[in-house]
Amino acid sequence: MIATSPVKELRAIVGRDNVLDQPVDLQTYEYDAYLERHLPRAVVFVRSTAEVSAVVKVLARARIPFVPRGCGTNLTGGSVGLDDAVIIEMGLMDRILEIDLPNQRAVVQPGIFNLDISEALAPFGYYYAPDPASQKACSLGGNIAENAGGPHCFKYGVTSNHVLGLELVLPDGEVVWSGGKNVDSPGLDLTGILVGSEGTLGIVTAAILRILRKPETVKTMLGVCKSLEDGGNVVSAIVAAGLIPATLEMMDNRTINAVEDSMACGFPRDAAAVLLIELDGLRDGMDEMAEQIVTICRANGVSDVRVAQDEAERAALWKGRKGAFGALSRLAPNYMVADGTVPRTKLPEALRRVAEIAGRYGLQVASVFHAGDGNLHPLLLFDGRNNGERKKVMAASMEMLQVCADLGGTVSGEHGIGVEKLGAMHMVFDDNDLRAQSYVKEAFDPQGLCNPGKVLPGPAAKTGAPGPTEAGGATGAGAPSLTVSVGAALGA
Amino acid sequence: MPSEAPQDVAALAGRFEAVVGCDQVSLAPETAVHDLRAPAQVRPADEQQLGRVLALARTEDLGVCLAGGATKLGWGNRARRFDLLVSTRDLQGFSDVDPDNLSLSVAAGTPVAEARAKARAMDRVLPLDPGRPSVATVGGVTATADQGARGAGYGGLRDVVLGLRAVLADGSAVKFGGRTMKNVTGYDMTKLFVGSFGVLGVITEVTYRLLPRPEKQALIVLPLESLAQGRGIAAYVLDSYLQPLALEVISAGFARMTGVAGATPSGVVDLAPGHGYLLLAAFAGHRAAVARSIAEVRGQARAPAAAILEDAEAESLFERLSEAGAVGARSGSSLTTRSTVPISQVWELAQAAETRAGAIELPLAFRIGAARGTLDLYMSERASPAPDPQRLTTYAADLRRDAVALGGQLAVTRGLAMLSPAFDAWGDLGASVKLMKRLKERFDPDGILNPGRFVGGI
Repeated sequence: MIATSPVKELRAIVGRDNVLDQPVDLQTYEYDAYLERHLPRAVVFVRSTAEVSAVVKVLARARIPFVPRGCGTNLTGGSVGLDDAVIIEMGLMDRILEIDLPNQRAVVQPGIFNLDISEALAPFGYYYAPDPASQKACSLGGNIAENAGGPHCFKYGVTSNHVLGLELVLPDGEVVWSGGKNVDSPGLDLTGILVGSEGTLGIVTAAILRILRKPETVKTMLGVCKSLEDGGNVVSAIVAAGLIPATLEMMDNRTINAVEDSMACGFPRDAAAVLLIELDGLRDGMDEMAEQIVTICRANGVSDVRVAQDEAERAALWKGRKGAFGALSRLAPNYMVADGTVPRTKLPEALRRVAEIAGRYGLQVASVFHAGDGNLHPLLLFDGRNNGERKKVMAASMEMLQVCADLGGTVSGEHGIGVEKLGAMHMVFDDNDLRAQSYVKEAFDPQGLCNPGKVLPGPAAKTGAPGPTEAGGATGAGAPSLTVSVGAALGA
Repeated sequence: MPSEAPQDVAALAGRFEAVVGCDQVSLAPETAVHDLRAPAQVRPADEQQLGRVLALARTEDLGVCLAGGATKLGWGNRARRFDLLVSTRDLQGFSDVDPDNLSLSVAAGTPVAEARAKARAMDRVLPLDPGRPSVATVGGVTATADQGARGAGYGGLRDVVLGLRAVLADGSAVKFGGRTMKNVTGYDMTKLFVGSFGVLGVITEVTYRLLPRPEKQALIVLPLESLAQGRGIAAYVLDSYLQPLALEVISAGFARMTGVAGATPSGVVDLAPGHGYLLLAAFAGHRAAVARSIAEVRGQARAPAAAILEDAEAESLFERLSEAGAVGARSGSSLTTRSTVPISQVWELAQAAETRAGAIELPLAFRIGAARGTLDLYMSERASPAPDPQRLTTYAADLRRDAVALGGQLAVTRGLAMLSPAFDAWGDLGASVKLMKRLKERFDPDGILNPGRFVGGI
């Protein structure tokens, strides 16, 4: 096919052992936390921007598609290589390059675990705010690619609010910087468009992050709810009262019990739902605001409100919340998350309709979600080895996303489009909207080599909800092909 | 082009009248972009009309400059061509008003002050604090990412826009983002359009994130003996647990220009001799947290003199700050610039601006946004002897070099005509400009929107 073997060229750049091309080695990289499997052509481990650039130049010249990959925790198939792509594995680029306290910035490489950033900053009294639930196991590069959220977005925003500059290897191998340590640089906000672009516009090799002073006080509360609806009403009332908690998270009864079964964090097993609320900021006025929240809870039928008395209790609550996806994965061989978002006040209706859809398909559903952001995460539990179940789950999930779109929300709050939701893009965007987005892809990646088949639907995906197809060498532009992973379950 | 024959202009106007109606087209509009005026202006009444106007402009291959409240036409470079002024002023109103979900959708031509009042009436805050809010429109403010003192607490425009609608150069209407805080459905096109200076498309509607109205708002004004003193207090605040809504240091000249000095009812903000600067720190939230924050800042000042303004008083001081641009405009021959640098470097840049201005006896006023690293400079040339473009150009070029060396940028926001013609309003942004050009080529292949006015000749 090609005169000189690209693998040979790649080995010359990164060293023999840093290129995998044997099927047995490649199998580790054929899936992520979504359901599809595609064996990559090769996997290349890179250690520097210069190596990434050289590798990409070789691949671009040979017109071989490539996919940057971090820890493979993506829930929508974003880090799976379609079209016989080469995986560029970023995990070795995991260093903190600079902690710049006077400017409140950190410069890091993309392979670093999210949690490691805040741990490195802790001695200085600083932290990096976006904390997706998978933060122990997901890398910053993936967070940037997906514009990751997490349970503290209600107050602090998402990844894009905290990324100010990026070093990028373009799909032709050229290295450019966007943004910087300063804010609002003149020119188009390339950093802004790169964050959330799912690795389709280039490969991020360094990022300038905003870092925040740790709050003086944190108060964590757990409201024990008689129904999901009560919890939703509490959230709305808190917002109406002018309070801005850092966290407003909910888990339903099935999730609570899964969490308790797997790690015993002290959640009440008989509660219909729990609402996790966290206030942070100055200690002054904090007790009064906490009291106000307790009053709001009581007024909305949530009689039992527990306040974490110490750091250990707080840590236990968070361990349960952040481990919820993992705990739920024990209940069934597979799950699928419908990561839709609705305007917050529509949450009760969205949850009702999600339950109705699950009931109609006869599917078990567990809900753990970011109530403050209106970001639902109904997890559909199923056995992926059963072809019929898989089809039902896909169809139910698409219906749930349609509900979110119909209620004025959107089809992905934080997990991205990947291959999973290509068909759902038409629920919120028309042809003009999508054409404008394709301009961006064309400007950055005219050859279409960088993570092909993701984010933007091809013409084939336009016919409503994609019907699941059988496994095989689907090329990704159309309906996603389905195979099933038993991959690690790490959620947002 | 201004040189176009009158009968051609009339014919052109006629073709636009056929699209939007006679009332929406006018000849020889007053509004100038730098020293250029277009022969005709169109004010589309809605998004559909705007679409037809741009489609026609593209067919006719016209250079189109955009204006809302026309407060920032001094920003950017001269237009490469300027055949038509398109005003978004008639795109008015609120399409989606949702105080419970903390979002508000505003048509592009709505003045910011009106949108803020709308939010206030619902007990919410619209987190915009641009220059001249009673005139500046939400479309213009979003397209220029203009954010002032309260950006310390609000964040930049990119942080408060949830979604927007726009009309592209081919006349097609598009929508990006949505109404929810979290949204990763497709590329984050809203970010691309915020601050895009109208070169990719014309923003027609913006959806903003709202904030709950804080229980309390207060602002402390401290006279400073030196910039170094301001730097010390600002560094303390930024490294503390305090979360300022605004953290500004303004020069005596700026305080006088905006009427901040002596403007308070308590009257203690007068600039005593030897106090060349004022520090303004504002906080919002729970009354106890605000009280503690104010006390902590006050404790940092060696001089006990301080004024504390609460709620409406603080609000009116912010209004004065945001009218600085209007004052600059009235004073005639003035040059203004905006720089952003890493936050700790803004003091060096301000010092350099002062020193360099002093060396050439150039009257200078400035404000430092200490929490975001912004520096706005206002330089006014005396009428006599006649302003010397070379002297000002050298000053601006030197300062730009300083800003770049400190990791930032310097852009001209008024008075480009006072500088030598080769001076670019934005400066050299390096390799990333290539990508911006490629985006421009995709969105506006004929280069009809604000041609040549943005970075890198875009």
